Amino acid sequence: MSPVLGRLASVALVGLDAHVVEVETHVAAAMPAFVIVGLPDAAVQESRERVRAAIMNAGYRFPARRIIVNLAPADVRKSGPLLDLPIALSFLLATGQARCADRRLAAVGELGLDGSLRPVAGALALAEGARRAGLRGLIVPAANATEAALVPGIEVFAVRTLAEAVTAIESGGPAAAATPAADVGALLAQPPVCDADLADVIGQHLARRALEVAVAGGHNIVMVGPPGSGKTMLARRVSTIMSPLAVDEALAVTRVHSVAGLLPPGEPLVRRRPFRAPHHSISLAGLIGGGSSPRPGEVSLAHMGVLFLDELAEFRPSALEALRQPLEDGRITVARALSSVTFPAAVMLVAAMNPCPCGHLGDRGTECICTQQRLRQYRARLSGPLLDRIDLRIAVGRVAAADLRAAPSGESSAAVRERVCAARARQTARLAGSGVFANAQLGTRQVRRLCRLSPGAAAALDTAYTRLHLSARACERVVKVAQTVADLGGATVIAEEHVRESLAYRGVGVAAEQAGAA
Amino acid sequence: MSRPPCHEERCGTCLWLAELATRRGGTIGRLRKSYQDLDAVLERPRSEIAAVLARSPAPGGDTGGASRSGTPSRAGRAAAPRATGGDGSGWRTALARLAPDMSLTDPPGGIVVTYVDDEYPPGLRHLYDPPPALFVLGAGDAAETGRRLAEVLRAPRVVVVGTRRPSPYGLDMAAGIGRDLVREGCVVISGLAYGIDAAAHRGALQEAAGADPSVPPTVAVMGCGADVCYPRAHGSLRRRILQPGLIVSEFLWGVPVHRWRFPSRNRVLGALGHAVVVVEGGPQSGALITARHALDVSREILAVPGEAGRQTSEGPHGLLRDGATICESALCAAIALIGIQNSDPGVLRGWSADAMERIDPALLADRLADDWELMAPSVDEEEVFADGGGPGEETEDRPGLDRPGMDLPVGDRRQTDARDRGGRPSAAASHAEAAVDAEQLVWTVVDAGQSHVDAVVAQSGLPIGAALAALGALEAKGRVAALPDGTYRAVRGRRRPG
Ligand SMILES: Nc1ncnc2c1ncn2[C@@H]1O[C@H](COP(=O)(O)OP(=O)(O)O)[C@@H](O)[C@H]1O
Ligand SMILES: [Mg+2]
Ligand SMILES: [Zn+2]
Repeated sequence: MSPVLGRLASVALVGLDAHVVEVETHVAAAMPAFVIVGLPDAAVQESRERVRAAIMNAGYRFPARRIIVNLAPADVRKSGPLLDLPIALSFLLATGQARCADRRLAAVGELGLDGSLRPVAGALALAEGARRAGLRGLIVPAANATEAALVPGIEVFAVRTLAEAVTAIESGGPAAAATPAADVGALLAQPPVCDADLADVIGQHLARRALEVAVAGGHNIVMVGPPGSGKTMLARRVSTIMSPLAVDEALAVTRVHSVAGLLPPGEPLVRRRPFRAPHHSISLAGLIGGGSSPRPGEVSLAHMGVLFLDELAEFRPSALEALRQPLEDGRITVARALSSVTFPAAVMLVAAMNPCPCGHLGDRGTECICTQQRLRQYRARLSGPLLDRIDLRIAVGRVAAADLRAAPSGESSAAVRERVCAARARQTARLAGSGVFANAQLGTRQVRRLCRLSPGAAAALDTAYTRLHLSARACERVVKVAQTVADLGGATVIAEEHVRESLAYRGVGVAAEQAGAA
Repeated sequence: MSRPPCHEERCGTCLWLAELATRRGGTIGRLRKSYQDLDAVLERPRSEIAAVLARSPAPGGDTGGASRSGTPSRAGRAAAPRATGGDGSGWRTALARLAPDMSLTDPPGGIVVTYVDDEYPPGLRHLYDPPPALFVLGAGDAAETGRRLAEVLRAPRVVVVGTRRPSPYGLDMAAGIGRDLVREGCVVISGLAYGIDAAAHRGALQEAAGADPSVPPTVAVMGCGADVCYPRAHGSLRRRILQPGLIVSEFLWGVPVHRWRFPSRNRVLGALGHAVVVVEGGPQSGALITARHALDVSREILAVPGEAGRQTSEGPHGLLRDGATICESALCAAIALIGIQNSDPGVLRGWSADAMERIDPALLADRLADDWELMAPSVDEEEVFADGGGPGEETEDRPGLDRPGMDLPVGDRRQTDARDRGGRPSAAASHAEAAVDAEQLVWTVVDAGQSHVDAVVAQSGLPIGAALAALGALEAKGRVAALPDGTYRAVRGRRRPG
């Protein structure tokens, strides 16, 4: 047992970013012990037991010595079980039971007690981190190999057991053994079939059109209507009318889902826009991300897709308040004592709510039993900054039972998607160089500079401003939405009818602005 | 005791009775079993009145405080010597000792008018059990409050009441009626409750903003002390009412709400106006109680028809079945008031010359004609489309507009459809034409009954974008109103131009 120091590179996650971690193992002739230092978290501390069992069950020796594992750099918190494999390998190097042929190889993986390897979360981000750090190859559990292979420029070696991993580092990772690189574009070309389609929705002309406008301009939308009016059904179909994911978008979504451990087995790439519908009882951390080693929240899992908040008024006010920053910035920063982590959160917010606590206000079938006071409290929960970020607010009515029995005759998602894509292309061209790519993102100054109103449109807006008592902010929203309506219609200038249509989405009743109480 | 009490003594007795009536419901009603009317009661010494009351204990409705701090007989005896002092203030001091939870000091801007004062609302004398005193509060000083009260009593007054849980339609009607009544020179009286009451007050205040501040637009009648804020959430509405208007109560200052005081309040509410309009309310609702009390004192009852089958429609529909006047706008109420005036000019003796002129029947008929197409079928759609500018302005030159929308050939509709979907009209002119056509189509649908956007699309055959644009244009002209449930309603009454 001549060498007493083993050293192997690995990668660990902080949020979505992967950092190289040097795993050093020192074996000393002292009282037997197994110590891990270098800011490991509780999960890493548990590695000791798994590593000891895996090493012995895989047929290696575990000497009764003082074994010290150091994880460098020591100022970054290491978390998760993915350091099991590099710790075991580094131990085998330190005790002379293995030799490393190429120091530019890194390894990640969780060990089973029998020495088998289990998949880890965040393989895509880990592979990207390893490549950025200039490593040549990454040894990963076989189940993570195709995902890691999405990253060009790094060789990925799939291993099933500790013994195979030893073979890999001893052989120096021959190119022939590497997992073939995946073609993201080709994968995206065949998205999995989706059984939900807008054609399933009967009637609901207003809601369909409003969703089309919302998606076309990247606007957030709230649907107000009694239970059973199809709000959830409509919301689930929003992502079907969005443009297909581009390569970099798909990678961005996959990165988040992978880190959260949500990739389904055998699906290395997220190929459809996400649709996330957290329950209203969700915790703040669950919604926007957090935890001692920060995990992405629902708002990040919905990145590039739809965040659906059903029963909006039931969410705790703190959660709604916390959504404001991500909706504004398209990302969310979770601050921790030692680090602050930023997750992407470019979502389209689709919200649904009942018009009142009992759900039947304005419903033709059933009568509302809410007192004005409860109604007032209900509305008050919504007022404020979040509502301010919702450009379209529409009322959804219940479709008559007789009509529901009729065959659906509405347009298909594909037809709507085509118009949406065309409108998006027009926006991209018009907004080139402005730093934003969708109408919803326009700031006050940009609205003034980039949205051109015809004289008729300006006059219509003026009338609405005074007659409907719109606030300045509401006017700005109307213009942005009108711009999207114009983009959908292929118009270069916002015309009067675009403003008029846009005004129909301004929201009255529950979703209206709470202009001066009483 | 044979000498009849002087005016001051009778004032004092009124306040004393007001205190008793505040503590215990039905006090005056019990006295009427022994005396012919309140005037007869006030001729008697307080000791005798107290004895009569002691013999006929209240059936209930006691706040609990009365027996401890002031049984009628004790209060009567203790206070009687001082009350003879002259102006009734000695009596107040005595009461203040006996009833520390009730404030007898008038708050700023507060006055008390008793049954024997000239300022006492004559309408309340019609009640079987008139309140012995009325506590009146305004935002100015006491003199200003007195002036306002006189103004109110000179003006035509309409009580608007309804459920605390109204439909959007009910709210809309209440606010519209409140607004239009004030425009017609009436005072809107209601109970400051949630729902219809508040909407009527708000409508009245909205109309009054910027108008002549000397006539109070609205008066709230409370079921607690006039200076008590109830419901709490209506604090700011209450302040807005007090600015130009009045808040009145039969109960002493500072008295909190109690369950039995609301029906009692409703009788005052019903008697204070010349007419009562019930907007929405169940068969057992306070609004119906108000209407019944008003009927007892021969007030005109009007009911706004509601949606068939709704629980809150039962009240007004029942009234309509029983012969109440149908109320579809404030003008209906105004006509009803003219009827009252014609049959009994004395009731409206103080009606201001200006208001009279404004609801001259001939003038009203004219207005009705242009507000209700059904009364004057010759009024064509030009009126509808002419007053807001926009594409409607060209209507006069275009033939076939007298029979718009419905008669459009189907092919034409398709064309509109195609133009809109294509998004690129062949020429700007045809585009504008299409917009006008769409507007008329949409108007026809909404005019036939309140409709959701989806129904408008289904019935007009227009693409959703065009339908929304047309609805927006009509809304801008004040011809349709958007409701919170996504439906649009044709606006009937004449609305203030934006
Ligand atoms: N317009 C519609 N077209 C087809 N089905 C509908 C429609 N509206 C409601 N439904 C049916 O009613 C069910 C309940 O709708 P849901 O979306 O859950 O309503 P909500 O979320 O508004 O309570 C749907 O799953 C669907 O089967
Ligand atoms: Mg639902
Ligand atoms: Zn309700």
